[in-house]
Amino acid sequence: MMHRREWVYGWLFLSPALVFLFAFTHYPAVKTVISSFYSTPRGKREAKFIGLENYQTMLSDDVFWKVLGNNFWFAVGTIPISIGLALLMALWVNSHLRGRTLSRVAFFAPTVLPLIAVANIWMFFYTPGFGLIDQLRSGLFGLPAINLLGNPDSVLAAVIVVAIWKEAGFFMIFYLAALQSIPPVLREAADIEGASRGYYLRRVLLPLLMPTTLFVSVNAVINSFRLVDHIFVMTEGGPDNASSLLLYYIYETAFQYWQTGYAATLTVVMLVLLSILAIGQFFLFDRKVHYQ
Amino acid sequence: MQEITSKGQTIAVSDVSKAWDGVTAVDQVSLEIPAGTFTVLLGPSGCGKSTTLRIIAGLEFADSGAVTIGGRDVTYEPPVKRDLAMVFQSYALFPHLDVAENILFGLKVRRIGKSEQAERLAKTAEMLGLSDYLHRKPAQLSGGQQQRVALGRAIIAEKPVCLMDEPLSNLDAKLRNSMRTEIREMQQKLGFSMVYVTHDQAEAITMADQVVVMRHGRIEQAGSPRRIYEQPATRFVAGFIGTPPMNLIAANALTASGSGASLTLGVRPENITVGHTGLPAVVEHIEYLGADLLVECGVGEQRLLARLSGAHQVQTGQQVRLQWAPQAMHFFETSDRGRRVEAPAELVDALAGLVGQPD
Repeated sequence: MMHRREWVYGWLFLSPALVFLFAFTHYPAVKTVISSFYSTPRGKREAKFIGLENYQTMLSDDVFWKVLGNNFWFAVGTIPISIGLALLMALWVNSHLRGRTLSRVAFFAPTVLPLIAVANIWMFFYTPGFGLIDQLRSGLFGLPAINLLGNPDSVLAAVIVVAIWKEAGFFMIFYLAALQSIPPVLREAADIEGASRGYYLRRVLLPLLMPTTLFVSVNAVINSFRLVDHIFVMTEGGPDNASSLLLYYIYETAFQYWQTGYAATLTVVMLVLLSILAIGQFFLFDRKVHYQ
Repeated sequence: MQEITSKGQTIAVSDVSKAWDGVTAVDQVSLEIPAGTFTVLLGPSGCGKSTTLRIIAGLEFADSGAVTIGGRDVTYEPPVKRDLAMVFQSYALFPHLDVAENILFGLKVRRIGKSEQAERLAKTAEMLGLSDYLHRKPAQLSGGQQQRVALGRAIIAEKPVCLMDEPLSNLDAKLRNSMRTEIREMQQKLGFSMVYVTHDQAEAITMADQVVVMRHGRIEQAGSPRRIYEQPATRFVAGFIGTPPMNLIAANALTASGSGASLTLGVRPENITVGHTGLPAVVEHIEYLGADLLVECGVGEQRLLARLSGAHQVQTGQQVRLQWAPQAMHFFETSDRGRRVEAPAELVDALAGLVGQPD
């Protein structure tokens, strides 16, 4: 009798989380995979099984390839720089300098602010003619106005900068936490042995931060596919899809063109890509990581 | 196989003070550590012994005063310029490096040649019995082995000065005893100057050439273990050294005339015997330790602890007479810093008459 009741309690406690997990994660994921093999239902015409046709469409879709390429460069542009910056900022605010609380807050602020709102501020920076960047250019150097967001050659770089600005502060928090868990006596032991700051950083701090670097880089990879809020505000993927990323293209396909079947196919591709990248990173890094 | 040897150097600390936010940690400490000797800084926690060590190491800098090593003023030099090694209480091993890399850390920093590194590593590892563990990470070692790795890192470079900050406090009692002997032997064999911080008087007494007893950031007494035990310079030292420490009672509590009002009488429990004549007392508590018997006796308002041979048969509540030799009495000022003083002859006579001679 008693056992049965405990069993019921167990499920009762689990159920709120399980319901949400299944309703909003597992069920949609499975449904997406199924949908990717079906045509898009239109009006009274129901979705019908079409096998790999959506995938064939995708392979011959120029926009898909362009967007995938953009996403690659977006990842290459944001991940190393945001991680590097995060580490630098963490080392800086972890030292005993005056006003470090203020700098911690300043560095973390981009993470707290909604990207949609912040993108509007960046819009002002980038505005041709009277934006911050152009005012500095013409005021200090007498250079002509440029339209960073309107030029296909510069627009991706411009949104990459915003993403780095957003991400670095977030990753800094992880590095800061990791740095604070490293006993200061290690620094003293290294001092006694005559290790310079650089030597200590290279041989002690960086290896000890490797678990954090792994964690952060997996997150950074996922975010490089996920972080598209500012694209909505700043460029809407344009001009000529030059700043469109995979997730943004999926959004467009699904909710602007209403090609839900094809959007499901793109989503499956993105899920597979992310899984491969995340699992690959763990296998690649794991051997070099020292866990305490 | 050539011997690892390093010549020790003299360390002099003169008038060093250090305060944090107005709280004085070290107060005008002066101290001389002769080359190649073993000096222990001893005291309760918060007495400034670790801070003094860290000032010698260069991990903290003195607010005033000077530190010289081998005659060279290093007061404001960073640790690397002081040519010393240090063992930390927590060992401070690098968790991601294996035993060999931990021991070689300093040599690699200084880019010593590979063949010399290997040679020295082999010697050091053999000396410490670590040869079979060179490729293990610190987490895969026992506490005692980690301790040895920390020692290895300190001695491999053959520095003339070695500092240790409570290195044995994380080990169990048995291991602590054997490491004590080992560290002492190592120091004598290699000949470096050692400054060793501990709050454990047994460590201090067994290892040191010179014991420096500290309290409230000041030196209470510096001297050989024997001198610290036999001639404690202050009431604090008398009450700190010895297990159990010296009995300290108001001198006038025992004398009928009430003379010696401003003095404290000190007698070590092991100097007290029970006999047919002497100071009348009542046994209040007995602790049987096998070889020894700790007997707490009441003399009027005062309590006296006597350490007797375990063969004695005494009961709680029993009337006994306590005796001790006149030369076993120490006198300290009751007020101020409790300095050791010569008692007036009549007081010594009065007390000696009271307790008589041990029979």
